[in-house]
Amino acid sequence: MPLVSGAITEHGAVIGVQVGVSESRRRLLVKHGMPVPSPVTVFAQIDTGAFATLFTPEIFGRLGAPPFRTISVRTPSTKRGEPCQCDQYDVSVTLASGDLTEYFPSVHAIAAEDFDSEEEIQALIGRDVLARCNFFYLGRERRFQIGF
Amino acid sequence: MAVALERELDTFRRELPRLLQEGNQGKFVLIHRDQVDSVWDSLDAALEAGYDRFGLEAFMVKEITALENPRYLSRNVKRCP
Repeated sequence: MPLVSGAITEHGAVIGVQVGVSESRRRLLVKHGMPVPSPVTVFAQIDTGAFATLFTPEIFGRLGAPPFRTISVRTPSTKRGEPCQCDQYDVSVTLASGDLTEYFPSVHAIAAEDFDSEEEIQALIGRDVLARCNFFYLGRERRFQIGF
Repeated sequence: MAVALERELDTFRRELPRLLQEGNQGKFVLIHRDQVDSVWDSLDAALEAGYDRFGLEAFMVKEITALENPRYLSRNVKRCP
């Protein structure tokens, strides 16, 4: 099992990811002779508290990917009994570190505006992706490992 | 925030009582504009059907349930004012 290792920073466990159109959408674009948008590279925080992976709406806009679903979500700022409806998108995600990459052809990611443009972090990797990996948090060594 | 699928959401809300009455609780409906296209046992099956039938056009997949239990995120999805 290939392992990616990194240091625990002030942002926690951070990994570079590429977000692209889903494999299904890519095949359709090719079939219709349309250009496939280039993947977008961002730094993502690994978050075991998030049930889904999050990206900013701008990323989905750059990919030209429409939402396919809405889901009801509670967040730290929603009031009890008043969840918000979020758009969910079908995208591809590639986790990358050095020469190691792991490609996930279909990830159902949520659009989240709560990232500042000056932040290093522009995404969260949630349990939907982590369910396909092994994640080790080595607190004493201030390092993490993620295995594909 | 879910403005893009507003038309499909309206269709879902209108058709939900009938879908539930027909015994589709827990299944996934595929909606295109003002029409319910089909019902599927899984989210992935409905999503693939959406790509097959509607290609690059927008469509919506939604779980058929009388009460949607919200999921929890540790980060806000909208900026605080």
